[in-house]
Amino acid sequence: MLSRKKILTLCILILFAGISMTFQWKVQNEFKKYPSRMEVVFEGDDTNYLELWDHRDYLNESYLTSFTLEKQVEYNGNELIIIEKDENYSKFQPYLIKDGRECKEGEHEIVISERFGEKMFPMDNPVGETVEISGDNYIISGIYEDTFLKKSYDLDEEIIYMPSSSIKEIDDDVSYRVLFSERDGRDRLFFNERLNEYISEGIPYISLDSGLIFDYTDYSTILSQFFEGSIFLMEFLIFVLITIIILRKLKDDSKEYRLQLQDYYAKEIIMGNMDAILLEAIKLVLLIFLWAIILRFVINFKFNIPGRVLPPEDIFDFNFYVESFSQSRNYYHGGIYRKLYEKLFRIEFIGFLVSSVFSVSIFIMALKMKGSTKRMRKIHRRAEEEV
Amino acid sequence: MKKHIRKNILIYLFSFVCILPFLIMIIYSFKGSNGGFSLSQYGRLLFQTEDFYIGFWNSVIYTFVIIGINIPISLLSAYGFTRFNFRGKETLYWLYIVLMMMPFQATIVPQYLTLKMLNIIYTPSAVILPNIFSTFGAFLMAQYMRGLDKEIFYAGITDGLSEFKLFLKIAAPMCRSVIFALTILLFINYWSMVEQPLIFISDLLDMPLAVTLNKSGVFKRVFYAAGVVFSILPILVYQFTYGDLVKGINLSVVSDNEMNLLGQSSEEEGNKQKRRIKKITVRFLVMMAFLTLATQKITYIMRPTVETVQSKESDLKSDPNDIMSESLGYHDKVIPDICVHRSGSDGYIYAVFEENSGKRRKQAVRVNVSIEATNGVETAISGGVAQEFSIIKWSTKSISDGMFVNIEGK
Repeated sequence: MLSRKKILTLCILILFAGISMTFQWKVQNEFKKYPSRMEVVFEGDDTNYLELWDHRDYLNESYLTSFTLEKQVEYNGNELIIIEKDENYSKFQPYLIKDGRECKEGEHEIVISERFGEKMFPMDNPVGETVEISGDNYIISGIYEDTFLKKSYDLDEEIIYMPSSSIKEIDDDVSYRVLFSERDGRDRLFFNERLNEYISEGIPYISLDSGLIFDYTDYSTILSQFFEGSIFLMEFLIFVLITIIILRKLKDDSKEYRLQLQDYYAKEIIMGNMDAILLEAIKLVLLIFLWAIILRFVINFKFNIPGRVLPPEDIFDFNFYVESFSQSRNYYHGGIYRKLYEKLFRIEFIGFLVSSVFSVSIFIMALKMKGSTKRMRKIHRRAEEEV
Repeated sequence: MKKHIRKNILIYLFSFVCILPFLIMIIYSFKGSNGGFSLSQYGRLLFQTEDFYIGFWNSVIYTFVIIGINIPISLLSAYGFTRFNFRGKETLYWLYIVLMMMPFQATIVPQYLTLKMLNIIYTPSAVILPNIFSTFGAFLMAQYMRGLDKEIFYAGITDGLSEFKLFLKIAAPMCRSVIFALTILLFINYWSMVEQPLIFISDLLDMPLAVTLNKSGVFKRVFYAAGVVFSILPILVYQFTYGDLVKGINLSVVSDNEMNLLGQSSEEEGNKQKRRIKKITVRFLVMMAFLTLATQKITYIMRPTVETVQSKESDLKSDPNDIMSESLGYHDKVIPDICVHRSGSDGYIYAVFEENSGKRRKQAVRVNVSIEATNGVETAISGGVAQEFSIIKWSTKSISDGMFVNIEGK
């Protein structure tokens, strides 16, 4: 008999590992709802932005394109990100209107988040109320639902949506963003290169290089690797555990057989213990089958880490990681997608560490339990001998 | 006394000369690309060189299979030569010795023809099959068995043992030391075999490590570390069988007292040492299995994915967007300008070649080309590659010559 305490601890550990991995899975799936994209940020009066605007139809033929304007302001002690969006934006950053309606083009209307609405108007329904932001009055036309991500781990800033051309005065804080994504929402390699080729073929006098190019096309892939890693670690530990169990079983059985051989002939041992031998054999065969299946999973498992985040030749080239980390920090230029990614990256990383700790603890406990059953078997045998 | 010291110095000097290549190999294995101390060679070898593990496990399989079958067969034939009298026994034994003396080079062609007839040429069996019937083992064991006391066999017969049980319960246990001696001798021979795999196997992925180390270009920067790791298993096997090796190659039964006189440790100590070495060997093999798995995963993520194009015949225009613009001539190899890496007036491209092995991996190979004309978008090249070759256009990482790549969408 195994101790109840140990079984209970093991069950709790398995439960926690399961919760941690479900959370990881949920987070990465929520992030996948936002299509992978490339963002080109233009500052000030860059004419290329306007040129691209004029060629929206050409760009929309092959790519999902959205022209946005992003501004960061402070309102009653809250950090706000105001996003002036066009009709395609909702495909990049989908949200669900919970109350009221979507803001109308040409009107001074805004859509705010559920949480921000509760914060601003705790007693009343915010829809239809007027707020003054940066000296302009806006009517709250609707409230969008807070997603799982927003509820569980939100950005520090509140995001407010308004239709394009609502921001009257353009100042230095404003960044013009053009978002590009695949029309079918799938992640494909060389998106940046293909897009550049497409633009140079159709509108050769425009270059995306005048803006800051942010390639976020593989962010959801990177994020999903933490969950994949947790799964792989669990598979691997189960594989090692089953290997150890099989080896121990073989060792114990052969030891038992050798011990019995001192008193009996082999034929006697087999004939006298036919049921037990058959049962052991069936157990062993099943274990070996399970071992082979898991081994197949372990061998076929492949991480999908994008090449650009890895050193060109040596994976232990630590200078490369340091440089790319410092570069990414210097290269940062806002954008809610990037902000969300960075926060979720931290969550997924912590989730990976937590589930790894749980998995390893379960593994160690399971190994010890095997040891205790062996001890119990010894005690049982000794008692039998005494009798 | 002076003579004694001089003699010792000479011994040390000769020993040093003997182990010098091994020392150089160890020292150089810790040298980084900048010349200083570094573990980078081991890092690259143990975590990023897939071919090393393919070769290593091939060597393990070849060696263990050959030894595993060769020793029982040798033991049986030696028993036959020692215990039975039959017509032509001496001639057969003489033939065994002649075969053993024959250099491999003399028997290559007949062996090749035989293997071809058996339809196993260019497969791993072509290396395994001829070696499991090697005659050296039978000769060594027959010599040893001739030294065994015949009275023991008579006692066995009196006890009612059949001939096979005599072999199993008396002859085989008594030949333990020569079995171990033969094991280490065969192990060293097959662990480092080069000629036979080179001739009888065509696929690089079926080659043992001794061949792969020299044939594959991927070991250029990790050669010394590969040499060190390659030597670990033979050293462990040697340590495991050391006592029996000394005893076994005396070709006669040496008692434990005589062994102690020879400076060997007692049997108990020897067993303890053996258990320790066995543990280390098992741990080493388990570690290698885990590292193989890790390397498989790392190699996959480190391998760049590329998009390729093929060159085309075309009339190159000075303005790529204007079909009416001036012609730069009709060229038979026109490729996107992005494929060409310039170095002076000429340039080079990376073409993708398929590896000649069962795995059919794709390898990027640098090809020098001459630039004929360019309009900034497309470039006409000459020399280097045929039209049907795939040329790398985009890559997820920077490419270097000889790098294995994945092709996008395949």
